[in-house]
Amino acid sequence: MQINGDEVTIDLNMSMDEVINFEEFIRPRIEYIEKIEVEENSTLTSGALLSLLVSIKKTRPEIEIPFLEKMGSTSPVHGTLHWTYHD
Amino acid sequence: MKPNLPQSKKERYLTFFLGDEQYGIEIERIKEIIAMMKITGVPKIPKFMRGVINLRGSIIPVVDTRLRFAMESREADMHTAIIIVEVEKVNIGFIVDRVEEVASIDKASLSEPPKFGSYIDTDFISAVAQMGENVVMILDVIKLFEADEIIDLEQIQNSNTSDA
Amino acid sequence: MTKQEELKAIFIEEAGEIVEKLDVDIIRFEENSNDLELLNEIFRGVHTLKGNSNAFGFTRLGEFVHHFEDLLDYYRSTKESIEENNLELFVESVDVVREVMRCELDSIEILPKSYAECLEKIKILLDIKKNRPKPVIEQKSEETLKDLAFEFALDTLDEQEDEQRDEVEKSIKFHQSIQTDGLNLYKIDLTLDSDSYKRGFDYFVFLKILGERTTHLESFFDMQNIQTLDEFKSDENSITKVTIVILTPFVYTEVEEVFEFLFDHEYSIALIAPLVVEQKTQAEVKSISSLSKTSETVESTASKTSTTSSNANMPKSTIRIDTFKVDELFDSVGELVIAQNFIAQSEKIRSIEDESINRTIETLSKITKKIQDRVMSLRMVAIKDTFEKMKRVVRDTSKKTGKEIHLIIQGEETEIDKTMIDNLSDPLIHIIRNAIDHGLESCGDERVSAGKDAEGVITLKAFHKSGNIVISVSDDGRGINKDRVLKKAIERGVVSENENLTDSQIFALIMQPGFSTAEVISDLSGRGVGLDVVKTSIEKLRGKIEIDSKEGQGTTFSIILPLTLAIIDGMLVQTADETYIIPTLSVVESFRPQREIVHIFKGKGEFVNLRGECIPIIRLSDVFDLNAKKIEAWDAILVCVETEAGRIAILVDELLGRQQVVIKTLGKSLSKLKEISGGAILGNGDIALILNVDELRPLGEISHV
Repeated sequence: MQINGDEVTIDLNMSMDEVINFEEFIRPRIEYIEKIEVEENSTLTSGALLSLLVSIKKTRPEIEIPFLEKMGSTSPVHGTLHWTYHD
Repeated sequence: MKPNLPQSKKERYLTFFLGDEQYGIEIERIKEIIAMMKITGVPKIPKFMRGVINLRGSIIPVVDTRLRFAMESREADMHTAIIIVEVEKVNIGFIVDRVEEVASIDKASLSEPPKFGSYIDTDFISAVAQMGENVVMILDVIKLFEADEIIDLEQIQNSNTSDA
Repeated sequence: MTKQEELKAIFIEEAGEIVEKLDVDIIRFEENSNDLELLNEIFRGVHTLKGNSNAFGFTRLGEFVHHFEDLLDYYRSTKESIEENNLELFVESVDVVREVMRCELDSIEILPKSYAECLEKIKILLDIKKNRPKPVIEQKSEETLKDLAFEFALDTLDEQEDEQRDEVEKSIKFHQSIQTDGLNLYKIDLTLDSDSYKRGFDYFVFLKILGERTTHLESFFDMQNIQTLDEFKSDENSITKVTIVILTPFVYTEVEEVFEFLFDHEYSIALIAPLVVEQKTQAEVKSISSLSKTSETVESTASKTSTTSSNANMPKSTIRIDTFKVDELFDSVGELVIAQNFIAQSEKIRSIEDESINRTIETLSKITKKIQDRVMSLRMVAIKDTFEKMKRVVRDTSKKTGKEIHLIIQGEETEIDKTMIDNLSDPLIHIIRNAIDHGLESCGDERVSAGKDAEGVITLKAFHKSGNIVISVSDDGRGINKDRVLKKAIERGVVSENENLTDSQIFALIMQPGFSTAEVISDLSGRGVGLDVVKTSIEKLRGKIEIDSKEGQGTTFSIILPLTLAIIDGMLVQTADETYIIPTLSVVESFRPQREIVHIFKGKGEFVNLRGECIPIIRLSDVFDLNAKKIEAWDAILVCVETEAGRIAILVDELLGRQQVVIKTLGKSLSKLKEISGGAILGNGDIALILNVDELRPLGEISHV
């Protein structure tokens, strides 16, 4: 995870512990983060991170999360994924 | 494919003689009429086929119509002609004794062909016309061509291109 | 044809040409992937296809080329160098384009497996390059509607559920359309409990497992019930449902196994029945000619050769002409030649002793010949394109067999009649594959120990020779073992023991149908498979195949074809006042035999002893039942010809000369005669029949094979 001012860049490939850490990191800083980017060539491996990103988005919709906003992703391992989260 | 009996009121036919019998063919099927000319023999062909002729660069098979209709063949004389008939772009020549005229025949004058008592297979006669005193037998050339396997209605495309 | 149909026909034709060019270009590009100009060419071709395919409703093609174009665009604008396996993807994609186009044009519902696979790969690659994942089915952008819904919080849950249901339905339909035999379509609903992570289960893990067993996998995550951060807990699963659509060869029980450790309520699997569509047979799919045959056209160029080279410095001026029109022109010129011949040879005209008339007739002759030559050349195209296609074949076969190959091409500018080119491809491909597969040694070591380079050499040559065009394929491999071939042929009853066969006749045996089905003959393994078909195809073009080989050094297959199908070079002969034509291609020699060398064997017929070889004499008058006064062989002329069944000597009264004549078919009713292959009109207007020498048999029905 890298922080660049108000922008965070994460590796999508996180273990459960890493996801929990990220969750704890974001909570207090939710008001200051403007954008969450993902590392090139990283792919999701767990529903936990995806859920967390959705939760972050729902908490504060102004945060830009380009990866999430595409509503889907494709990888040779998992095939094509689609998601929706708007409330 | 045209039905056996013509649809319009008056149809025009080219009439010709084989011996004493008079026959007619729809004028649309006639490509041209030529005088008797040199026929090149082709080995092992049906008896009623005389061979082929050179018609301005195209090779066209020629039928001895008399033999085809189970009559005796006869020497050509100055009246003998070859009628070039065209069906689905395939041309065949028919040798006839004498070409008569182009006649307009009323549909009303046409009647069903007799089932027996004729020289030729009555399948080939689509109708019989009364023209004054004479009886003209109208030929169904499509059936004639089909019977000789000159055309194959399913493969009509193949019988063309390089011929003409 | 309506205007729309006309435009569509033009598109189909142009699309066909674009694909052909893509085929050639992509191979060139593979050889030199730094050629940006070439990449641009390829991009342009795909781009044009994209624009037109959607316009004409070829949406599947459109979809594919759209993404392919994106990928090409990426590389050409970033000028990034392309990795090897991605180059493979490019080549594969061109193949898919061709396949999809065929499917679209033939209205085939089911796309080949490669379509989805390749498209997937392109998208993945694009994702990686642009880091922008793109869902296969693009959801309608209903952002505004959703925002409003958010404001009013009205029935949003239902709407979204419906929406995702729609997406799932769409996905199922799509997968049904690409479903092939052996693949099953399942819809799996996963509704994991919130403690699933603690039990060790994650949706993604299941997806990964399923991904190992599938050709196509798509999932829809329902994230509606995820709370905001104040209540959210990462280690509790809050994704209520994931719907998975999967196309896999595995049966129901095997799919079920994947979820065996879940609670029953957490998953449900449904097998979706395949769509019942009219299946077109492979044969219909293979009618590639449908690609461009509403009206076949040929590009007529200002100069003699036509070129598709992207490196052409000067664009040649070309026009499109219907081949039908060229054929008609050709026919008319043929008639012109005949008429002109008649005048030139007419006794009456020759007897007019007028200087200017004679000169004019001469001029007429020359001009007619020129016109004939020029019209003939309209039908001629360089064999270059066909050879270019062969590069691809060599490459593919090389990869498949794992053999290193160096391909040498010579004489690609040699011209051949356009009508023949289409029928030449398949036989050539077969011969080349054979040469690589069986002709060349299986590994570099074997070659090196034989004193050759590890890399095998295949030489593809085209050249004109005595009025014919020769196309040869040579390999520098093992060569053919004559003795083995002969032995096997005798064993199989293809030839009898005491036949006196020349080397070339022995080699030719491998093209016999009896031979092709022979089992493995060690180093001849499989050689001969399909060669009999090749032989028949070439013979249909009125050509022949000659094989030459030296053990340990290599083999050469030579395809000899007449320059054009419409004209034949023939020897005019006369028997019983009839004129016949014997194709010069088959003629070995002609002579008047001495009485001593003619023999008659009781019950077997006449023979002539030609320099030790006993050749059966065939009298045309017998074959054709002609009325001819019998002349002795030594008073007549014997024309010795080479036939499938060996050599025969045709007995004729006279030799009339050698001529090039235009072949005319005799029409369906007469073409049943197998001894005659057609008719020709001579200068004097007479008709001469062209003999099919392979069908001539002596009365005693003696044949070598």
